[in-house]
Amino acid sequence: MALPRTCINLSRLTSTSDKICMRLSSFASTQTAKEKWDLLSAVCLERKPVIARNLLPIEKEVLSMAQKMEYRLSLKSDHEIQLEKDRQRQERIKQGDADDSDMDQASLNSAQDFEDASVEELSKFPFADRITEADKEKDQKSLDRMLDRHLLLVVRQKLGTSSVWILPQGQRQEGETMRQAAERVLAESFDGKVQSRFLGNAPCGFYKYKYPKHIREQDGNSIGAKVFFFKAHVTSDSPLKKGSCIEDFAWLGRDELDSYLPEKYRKSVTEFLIDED
Amino acid sequence: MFKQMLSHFVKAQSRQFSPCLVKSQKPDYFNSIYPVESYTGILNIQLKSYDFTVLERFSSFVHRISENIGVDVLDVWATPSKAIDVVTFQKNSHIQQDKYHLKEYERNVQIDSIPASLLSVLMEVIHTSLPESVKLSIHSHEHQYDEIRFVPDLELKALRQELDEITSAKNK
Repeated sequence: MALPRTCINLSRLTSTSDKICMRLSSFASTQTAKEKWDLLSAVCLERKPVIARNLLPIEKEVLSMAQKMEYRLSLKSDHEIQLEKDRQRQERIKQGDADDSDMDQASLNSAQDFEDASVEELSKFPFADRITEADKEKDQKSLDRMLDRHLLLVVRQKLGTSSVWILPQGQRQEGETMRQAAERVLAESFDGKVQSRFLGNAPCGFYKYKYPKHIREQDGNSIGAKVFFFKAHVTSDSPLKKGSCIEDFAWLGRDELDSYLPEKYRKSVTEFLIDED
Repeated sequence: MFKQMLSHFVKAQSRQFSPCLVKSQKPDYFNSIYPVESYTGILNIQLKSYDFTVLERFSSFVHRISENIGVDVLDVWATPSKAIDVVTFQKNSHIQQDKYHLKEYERNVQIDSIPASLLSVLMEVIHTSLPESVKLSIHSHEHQYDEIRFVPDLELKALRQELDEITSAKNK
């Protein structure tokens, strides 16, 4: 009775192994087509907004309503209590009900004086301009432009025979992780250290492109490149100096990307950029 | 025969999953086909500001988006505020011109085991939506951040010190 049982077990084993072998063979067939893709890392370096945006009309209305509600629900502050006491003391002095403590208190700096002095100080405070020199000159290499919006670093690199405006990218070398490759690309693109903070080891976006036919046909060459984007924030506002790997660079706002980046590339890139409506 | 079939099956499996087939395409640190997700430990999102109405609204916003993203929010708490006095002096003298009393308020949102890729997205979102005057810090949780929340029990400390002195005197 043991023999039939082992036969059944074997048959079950072969049937499952067949299924797995089938799945494996389908996996193997795509690999043996020997499609070789180059792995590239690109850096999405952004300067975050420095000042807050101007409020839309509806936002202003909501803000004023929220402030009114906050005022109604809040308790009186020390300053407001002092103001009330001073006013009541003034009333008593007028009507002649004042006593000695009232006369002593009245000579000290009253809360009203303090409030007037504070209001005067605020009116004299010089607020900085929202529109800077760089905005007026439209200097695209400056980090001082468009303070209330994001600025994205875009470089002109030579890919093959033509120069294109893209995010700085470079091929991953042996023994590097993708993020290390991205950091190296940034360091090589500019003279001197770029003060930046990378957001994690996981890429934020992806773009794939095929090389032209005459390069693909050659033996041992890759079909194309797969670009993985890594997000970073720039932490200092010192201006950058162009390195030898790139031809030119610019800090662009979202609206300006249309005229610089290639169409399909821009679609992939805008997928991972934060919306600015 | 059973053993033969099993060994054949195992060999077939190891051949297909061996790294030599995928070496030319993936970096060598990819030793498994399936993506490996790394999870962070307990993180504190610390928000500090001088304006507590804005701070409170923003901390509730951070709590809400963390929950909506699907992150495990362990705790949301307020740390006791710090009183800061700023004194300005008149030029080239030590006569006080102005005295400002400021209070720095703090709110913390504690999250646990967030996938590293999702953390970068969450950091980006919080950073972009920071209102004016709020300072952000995201760090791993340490014991000191718990200690700050509690008012030290001075009586207990004094009694403990007395006990230590008595025991050390006895030992001598």
